[in-house]
Amino acid sequence: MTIERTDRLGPTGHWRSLDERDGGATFLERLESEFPEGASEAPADDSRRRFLQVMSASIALAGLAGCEWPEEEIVPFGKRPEGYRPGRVARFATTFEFGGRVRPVLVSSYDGRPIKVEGNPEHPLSRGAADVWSQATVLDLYDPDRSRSAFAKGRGIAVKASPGEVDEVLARHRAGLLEGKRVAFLAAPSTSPTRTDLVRRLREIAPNASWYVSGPFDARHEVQGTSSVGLGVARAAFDLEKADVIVDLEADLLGTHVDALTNARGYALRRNPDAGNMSRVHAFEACVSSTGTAADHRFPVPSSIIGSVLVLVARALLDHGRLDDDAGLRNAFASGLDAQVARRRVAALSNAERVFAAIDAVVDDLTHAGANAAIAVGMRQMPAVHALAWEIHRALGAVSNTVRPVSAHYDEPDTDLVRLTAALNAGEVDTIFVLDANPIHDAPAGLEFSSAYAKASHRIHVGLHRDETAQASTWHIPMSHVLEAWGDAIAPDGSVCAVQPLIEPLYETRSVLEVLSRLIDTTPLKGHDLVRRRFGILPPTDESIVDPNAALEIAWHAFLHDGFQPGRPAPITPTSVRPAVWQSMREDRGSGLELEIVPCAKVLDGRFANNAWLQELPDAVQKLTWDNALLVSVAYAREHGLNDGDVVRVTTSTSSLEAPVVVQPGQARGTAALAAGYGRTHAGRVGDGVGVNAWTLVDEAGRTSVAGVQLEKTGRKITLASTQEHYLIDERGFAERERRAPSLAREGTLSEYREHPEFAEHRGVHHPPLVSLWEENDYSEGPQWAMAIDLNTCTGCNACVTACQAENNIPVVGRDQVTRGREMHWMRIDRYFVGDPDEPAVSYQPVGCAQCELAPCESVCPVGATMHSTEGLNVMAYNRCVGTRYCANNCPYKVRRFNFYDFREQETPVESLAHNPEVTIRSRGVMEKCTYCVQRIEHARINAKVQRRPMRDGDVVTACQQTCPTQAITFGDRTDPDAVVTKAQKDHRAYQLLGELNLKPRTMFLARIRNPHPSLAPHDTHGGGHGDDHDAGAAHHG
Amino acid sequence: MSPSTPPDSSRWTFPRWTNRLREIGAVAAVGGLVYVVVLLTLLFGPETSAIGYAPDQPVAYSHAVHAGELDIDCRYCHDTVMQTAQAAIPPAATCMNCHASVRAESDKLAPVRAAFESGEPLRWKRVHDLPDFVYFDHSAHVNSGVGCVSCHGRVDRMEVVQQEKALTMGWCLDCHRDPTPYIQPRETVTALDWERSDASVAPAQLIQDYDITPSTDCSTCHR
Repeated sequence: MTIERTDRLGPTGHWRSLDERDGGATFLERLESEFPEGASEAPADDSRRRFLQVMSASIALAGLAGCEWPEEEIVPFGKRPEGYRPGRVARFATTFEFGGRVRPVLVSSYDGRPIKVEGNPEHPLSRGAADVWSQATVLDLYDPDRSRSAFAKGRGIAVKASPGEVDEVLARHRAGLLEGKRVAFLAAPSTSPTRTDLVRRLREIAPNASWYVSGPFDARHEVQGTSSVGLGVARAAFDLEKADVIVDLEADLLGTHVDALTNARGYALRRNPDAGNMSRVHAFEACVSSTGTAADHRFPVPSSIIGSVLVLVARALLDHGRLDDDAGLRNAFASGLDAQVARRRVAALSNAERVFAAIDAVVDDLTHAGANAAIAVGMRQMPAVHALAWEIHRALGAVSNTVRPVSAHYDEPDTDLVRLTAALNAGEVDTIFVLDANPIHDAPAGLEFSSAYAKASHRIHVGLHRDETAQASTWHIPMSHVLEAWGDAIAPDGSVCAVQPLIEPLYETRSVLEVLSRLIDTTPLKGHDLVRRRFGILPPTDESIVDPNAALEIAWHAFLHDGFQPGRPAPITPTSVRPAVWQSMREDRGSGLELEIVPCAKVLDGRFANNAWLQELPDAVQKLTWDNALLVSVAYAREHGLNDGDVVRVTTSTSSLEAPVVVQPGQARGTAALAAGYGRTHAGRVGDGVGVNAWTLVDEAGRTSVAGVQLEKTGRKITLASTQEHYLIDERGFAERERRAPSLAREGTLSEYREHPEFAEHRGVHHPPLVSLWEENDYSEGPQWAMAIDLNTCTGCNACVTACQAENNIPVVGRDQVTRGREMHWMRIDRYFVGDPDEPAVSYQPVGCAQCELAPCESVCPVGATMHSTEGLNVMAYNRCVGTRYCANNCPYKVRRFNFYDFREQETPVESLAHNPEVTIRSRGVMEKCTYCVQRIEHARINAKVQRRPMRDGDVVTACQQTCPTQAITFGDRTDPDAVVTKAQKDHRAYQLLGELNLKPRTMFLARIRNPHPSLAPHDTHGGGHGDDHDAGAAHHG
Repeated sequence: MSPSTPPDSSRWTFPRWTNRLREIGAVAAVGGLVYVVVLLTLLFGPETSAIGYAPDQPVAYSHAVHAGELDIDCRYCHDTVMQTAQAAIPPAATCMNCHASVRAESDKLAPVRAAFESGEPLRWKRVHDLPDFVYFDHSAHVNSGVGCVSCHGRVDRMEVVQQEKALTMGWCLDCHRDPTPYIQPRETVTALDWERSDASVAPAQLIQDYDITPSTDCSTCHR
């Protein structure tokens, strides 16, 4: 039966999971039920009977409690701070820096507590966008597992230490530093000029101090590659707005890349199919990334082969001979690059023919694009691959056009973890400070860092949590969260960004800068003074102000107000060329199954492991929550009979671990992938024991592509908390699915679109004229709210989902509840695979409540809890809801969410500080869903009223729209003919999801347009979705 | 259940107490009736909507003196009312603007002076308390010409502030459905003794001028 379905579906249909594609039993079962089976059952540890008892008891108690009117207090300030208005949100610009990423943000503070992080709209690199990590950090601030006090450990017993004792111990170590004790520092990469300054002074006062910078997935390889071609201690930063052609070699430019937000904006600006200059993206990668799914062409290639692909591209470019300056490339081939070796390696791939064709297409595109080409190489690639990309950029004349070297802020790029481990093992370190890093968890297991670490007699850890490294240390000093601390950072464009506190430290914490100052400065300074001191030595920007002190004061206030001071990137000192780098490309990487250890798009390298928002975020591609899994290719899974959830033993030459399998369409054959950042043992109550620790499989060289991996079935199977088959849209019968799926996430090619601009409309289901069963309301008077989502620029980055969660107080339900289909996200991103399971194209479709004018949910509500507003909103009155769930059953988009539990019961008082007071906290038994951020609408309306003006387009910005890095979401009043949303909804590509049901949804989608290279077979995106012939004939060109 | 065990017949006979079911029923019926009457009386009585609620405050502050006798504008103390959702309770510093020199030694003002000096806030009892799922915004109302008096009554005559209106949803909707009787010129919103006269602008005109389109959508107040 399975085979029959596969055949019938053919290679072109849209599908969400392999189970769906093959018509597996699980999928059928889920399709037929409103909520997945067991969704109405109470969790196993609370039997249904017990549940009912608790329910009735709480009703009785509620009755009693209702007799008493709660007495509330109003507590005004003794002296109200200037400019402070009780109950009004204040916004402050600050900067979040992590893992080399600089994210200028704007944080909303309600009565003194930060509640929401958005991008800083003034900063040219973020323009209001924020990634999931910056947004979720507000939850980290209120994390009840944060370390609250220092401890000293002697004979294995940790004793709480007061801040005074911390000062004492730091003073002792300062004395030691001055005496010439051998003190090592290990710090996470940071661009902070204040920190750089402190490190410089450290070197002056302490001759025997050594400073190591290391973090998982840092830019070390890239820096080595860049410096070996003479471009300095730098990494590549891109300007994708200028790029006609983007070649993404595992760099994930739009996802986990350090400049992802900037890249996404640049990319989106060039994806307008009407502008006539739509860019083309080629992606070569082993496991499916956000960028791979956004690309016009994605080629699954093992990580170790990507270098060879680039060598062949370089060779072909040289042979074509239309280059600006090919001296560097010629030298590279003269000093060790070998196209023959590369060709042999690529030829060994199972999809070699396609990869060769891809290389030809890429070369063709690069030749045409010339200086407007961008080649991005992932941080996991060897230095030589980065160096080669630079040489190609140089040859094409792209350097300082689409790509430029920017400072990587490594003082000495070679002082890495390997050397530190060697120094520790050699007994050359008496004291080690670990500053905001967690090497015990994330150092490659092959290094055996923990045993080396134990050799230092004083081990002082400064961090947010009492994590793995804190446990192995003799001292732990709790660190202030970024929203509690002063600091600074330098963005790739050279602007100096301010880090300023939104709130006094909640606990006895201090920042890394303050710890360093205690060690380095004669009179230790507070964070503010440190940053101010450093700011004082910056050159003044406004020369018209004569008094230097006044000028500085003005500049400082502007710096804090704007959150940054514009600047030019610091000039980069060129390095000497090292031709030896090319030799490394010849090294054989071994054979057998290749394991790729990749950064997680949610918990990154594990630093966000205790963040429940991120843990519960469905991964863009696998839709997996609360776990990492070994991703294997479809071919491998078929061959070895593996299925989702099968636990396998992964064995490398040095170690092994057990991990569940997810069969990942698009995973390169011959590779498997495992996300890092899981398997934490001391992350906290959220992150402990989630997933497996990928670092245990990494050898001492830190290679994240491990060759010759063995997989062995254990026979066990676990249930993975995946959301991919939850909330399916019932397309009226399984047989019709194949025909209709392309009508949900519609897409076409650029040539198709040019020939046939209305193709998206025609791709819908053909139906007789729609007749309404109801007398329709009049919605001609404004404002009438509407939304448009452009599928063309959606990269599935999840920023909107997190923004929605933060804005609307959406609870986290936990792993067990997700497996029952009870996740609460108001916005989900549907992911469709298109075509061949080995090399599928991927489409995303963010779906929230579409606010149907003829909403089927409203007509079935027995208590009038969901009603239609005069402005076209499908509103929920939570207090009326009695929880029949009829509405969810009747919703064709499956966007309604039910509170099966009171998820706030477990919450600590600190955690509840993160809530947005503008949105009601829903209780158990209540249905909820996207409201189009009605609180923002009302706020904008009242604001306009107070300012005594009519509302304007752009007054209301929904949370998802605000944060979208590619600005794919537009929102506004559709009765306003000049509103952006009105124009978007009138676009040729605009269509209604399930329009044939005559729901009149207010949310419309804009079809995705791919821009394939003419020589590569375009993804067939039609899938037989046409009802009539005249379209089908016309649309099959190009 | 195994077939060899005979069914326990006592399970199927009525217990003895059921003989008195008729009497129990009568008592329950009378009791029920009393219960319903009491319940309904309580439900719709002014006590339930807390009309007349006038808790003791930490400072014996008299609106009658300040707003009435001295005729201080409401906005001198509740200064955020025109711009934000809340008509903020003033900080002790506002009191001290005058009371640093006026009755500077008064015992009644001791808590205010303490709050001002220490920064330790005064804890006032909230009189007009809407449920937490209601998002009321002062600025939206006063900027539309709804006077303070419409919801708070003659505060300028109150020695101790008390709740005068029901503040129930029905009461809110009365005005949202037809605001005409309640709209006054914006300049007069804090004039608690303002009365419509022949000389005043017609309410219909004000509604048009101020672009007042009160909504009865759920989302206007519930989010």
